[in-house]
Amino acid sequence: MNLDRILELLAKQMGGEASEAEQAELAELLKEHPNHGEIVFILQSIEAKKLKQPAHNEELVVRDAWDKVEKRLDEQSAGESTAVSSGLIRNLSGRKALRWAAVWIGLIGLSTMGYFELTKNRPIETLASVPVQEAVAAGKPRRVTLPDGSLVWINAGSKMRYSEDQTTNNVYLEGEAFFNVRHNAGRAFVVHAGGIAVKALGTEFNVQAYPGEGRVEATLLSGKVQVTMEAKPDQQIILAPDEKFTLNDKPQPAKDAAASSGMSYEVKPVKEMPALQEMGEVAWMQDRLAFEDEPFEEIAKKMERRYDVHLVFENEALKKETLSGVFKNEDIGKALRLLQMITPFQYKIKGDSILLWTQHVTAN
Amino acid sequence: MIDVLLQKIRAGDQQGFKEFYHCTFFKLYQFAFSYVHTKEPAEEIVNDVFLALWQKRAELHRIDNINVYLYVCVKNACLNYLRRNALPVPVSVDELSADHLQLVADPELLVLQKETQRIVREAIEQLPARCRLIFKLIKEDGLTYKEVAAILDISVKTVDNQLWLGLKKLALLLQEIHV
Repeated sequence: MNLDRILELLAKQMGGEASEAEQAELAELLKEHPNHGEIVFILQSIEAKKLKQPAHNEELVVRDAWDKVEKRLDEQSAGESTAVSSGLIRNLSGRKALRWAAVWIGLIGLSTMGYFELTKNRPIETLASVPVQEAVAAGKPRRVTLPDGSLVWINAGSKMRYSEDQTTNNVYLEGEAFFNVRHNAGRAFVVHAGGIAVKALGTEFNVQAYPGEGRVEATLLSGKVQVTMEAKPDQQIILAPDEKFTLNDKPQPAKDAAASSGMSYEVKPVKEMPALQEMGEVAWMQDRLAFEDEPFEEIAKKMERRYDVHLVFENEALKKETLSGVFKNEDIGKALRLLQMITPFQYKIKGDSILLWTQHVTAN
Repeated sequence: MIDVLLQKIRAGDQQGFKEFYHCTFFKLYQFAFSYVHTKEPAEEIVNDVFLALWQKRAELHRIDNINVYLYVCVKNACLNYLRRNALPVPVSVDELSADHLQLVADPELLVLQKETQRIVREAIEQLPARCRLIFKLIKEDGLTYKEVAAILDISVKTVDNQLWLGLKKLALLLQEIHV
């Protein structure tokens, strides 16, 4: 049973216990038995995904945890007595726990207020330089820190502008961005995009408003946001975590139709894509393009932004093909070849456009 | 690289301490989570360990293996926390929770065959908790067999067996994929 032996050696290799002889043996066995290659390949590629929690981004967890450490370091050097011995674990129901409630969890109310008061006079730590106005060309997503300490990830083909007025920190967005809002006591944080305003109430959310798409989306990951539409300013929609608000400019049958303007919106829950164990909506932050049962023409729009190309369909039928998949770290050529493996089509590069067509036309 | 950071910490360089923290915090946090199952205590426990490390930075050179040291500190602090709060204390590795650890095969590989994705995912989900934890500590945290054995207080042979059994189980389930 040579697969057994292969696996035994593989285990040793993973654990750093394989001798040179054993490593050589493993390589030999794999060469001799290519039929096992695929399985071994999959096993080697297993990785542990991050903690399945509201913070979809490890960085944010670490950043917030570090804030607390830094605070205690400051306290220590200021001479305050902070008992730190490896055996001492504070009782979390005390006052101190309230002060240190993590912002990104989106706790509203007393606990977050206590935390914010303490941070008011602290210099806001920035992980990047502090620009007021940002633009991102087609290409890779980019992360910036806003003057108020909030973090914004801007997707390819998007741009964003920040400005403060007396009461509010405003962001004007064209395209797509993910926000981790750092609360400032007494100030609101509002994102304006595609005719809606998303007011953050201590939170993480994604907004998508690419011009010309006829659709604006806001997805909430944690915390709370309030969405208002310019066309109907008196209507306020509050989103709960894992809910997505979609505004359609094209007339569509929907629960609440703004009859006069032909606009309609809906709110529905989003769930994780099984392949990614996170929502497709935020896969771009890990530099992945994820789609599940989406028509090729929608995918093509995303690909156009990601690779900075122009895709042209020669067949209507091809546009409607539904596909699922994930792209990561690949170029346009590889992406297209991967797609060709799931649905037959041809492509040809013509100038700065890529033509897509399918040979056989199915009779409907 | 870690050695350089440790030297900086020993010299009292807070920036070095911060960098070290950023490299190491998350995996310790996940490890703590396996014991205490809640975010805030897990975070506090790990922070306390880091702060204690900082306070004792003058003696850093006495630590043989910083990984084992930190993981064991976290583990002990977790056990103390569980006892203080009258929560169930895991007696063996089997009792550590690994539900929060989602293992997946790199989606880049499995970009296409949905069926393949599903089979792999189900196969991984069927691994017992201790397998998943050991997989994680070795594959992702980069610990060696010896380190894992020291941290979890089990023998190197047990670690080896666990990993091997895990791989065998997965291979068996994956063989359903006819490629």
